[in-house]
Amino acid sequence: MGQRYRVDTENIMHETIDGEVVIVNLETGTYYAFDGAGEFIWDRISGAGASLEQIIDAACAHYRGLPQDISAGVTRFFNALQKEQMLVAADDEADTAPATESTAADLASGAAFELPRLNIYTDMEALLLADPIHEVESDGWPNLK
Amino acid sequence: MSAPLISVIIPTYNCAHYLGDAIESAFSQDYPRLEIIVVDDGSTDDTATLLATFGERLRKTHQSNGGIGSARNTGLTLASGEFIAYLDADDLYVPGKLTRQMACFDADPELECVQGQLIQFVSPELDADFAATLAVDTSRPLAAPMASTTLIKRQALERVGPWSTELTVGTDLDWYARVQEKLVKCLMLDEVLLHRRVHRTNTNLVHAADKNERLHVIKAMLDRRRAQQRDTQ
Repeated sequence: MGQRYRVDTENIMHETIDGEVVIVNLETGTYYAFDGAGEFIWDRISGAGASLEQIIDAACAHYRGLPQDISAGVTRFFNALQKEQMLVAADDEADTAPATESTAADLASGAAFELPRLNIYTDMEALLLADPIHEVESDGWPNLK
Repeated sequence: MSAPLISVIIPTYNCAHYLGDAIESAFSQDYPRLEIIVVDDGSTDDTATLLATFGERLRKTHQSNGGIGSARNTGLTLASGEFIAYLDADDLYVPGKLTRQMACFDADPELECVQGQLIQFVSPELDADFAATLAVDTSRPLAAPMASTTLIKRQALERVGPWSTELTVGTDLDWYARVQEKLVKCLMLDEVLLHRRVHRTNTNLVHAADKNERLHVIKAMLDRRRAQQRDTQ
């Protein structure tokens, strides 16, 4: 089994909202959005973490399509996540748990595999970098800027 | 011809210990025509007493607690200025901020909004040990397209629409997204216009739900933009 990766939770805020994954990189101020197979891949990583091979296996089981096409699409998307510094190696004590167990989502869905696309946005970079995300208090909104 | 009036709106909630400095930084501006409006958003501390010390120089109003967006909106209803500026109750304008920004409007009549850099400072009352634990960069300016650096033409502000009254940490993000969507012509100055106070901060006190509010703002923004694209196709 290859190296497992998980989300870099120190710098990455993320949530799946109405089927779309929305991510902010607090280090760079870049934000991202994707859905479809991208969401499927992200779900595998954002739990206990997963290796690329595990994700490819899960995607091949879940989607209808040629395994080599699915493998290539998943790999490209995974590499894009890495390039955007969203992932870290899951190698510490807390990360030795087995990868996310099979769920209903891993089972064959019958859906055709469509190439996931990572949408990258930099238009709010200045505001997200200046926004004191780490500097808020619980009492009173003058501090909740 | 007299200079256009600038209304400076200062919303505040339980921030009496810093509010006086913020107000003084606005009064110290060298721009000749200013009105300063403080919206007390239901404070339960010494805010009312503090505001009374400024007498008639200050326009002030009190409302029940509705959040920073609500207080900024209230401020606009009281404002008479052709230009609107905001200042958070714990921050400080640098001397000459508004004059510098107004010079930009003079140079480019098409310009609608001028913003600039902020630099952070650790509030002096914090004890040194605590201050040393803060992961805050006080050494370099940050481009800050947010309320407290903004000077905007009233017409453009009305085109953007009111500040959200539902959001907390996502308020400025939501507003600035709409500034972009409404194609407000903006200028970001390289100069520091604002000193942002860092005080009694604690990441552990942040609720995950509040932090993620920004993600919901971004999602709504993406949905709006995609809908707009579909409409124009």
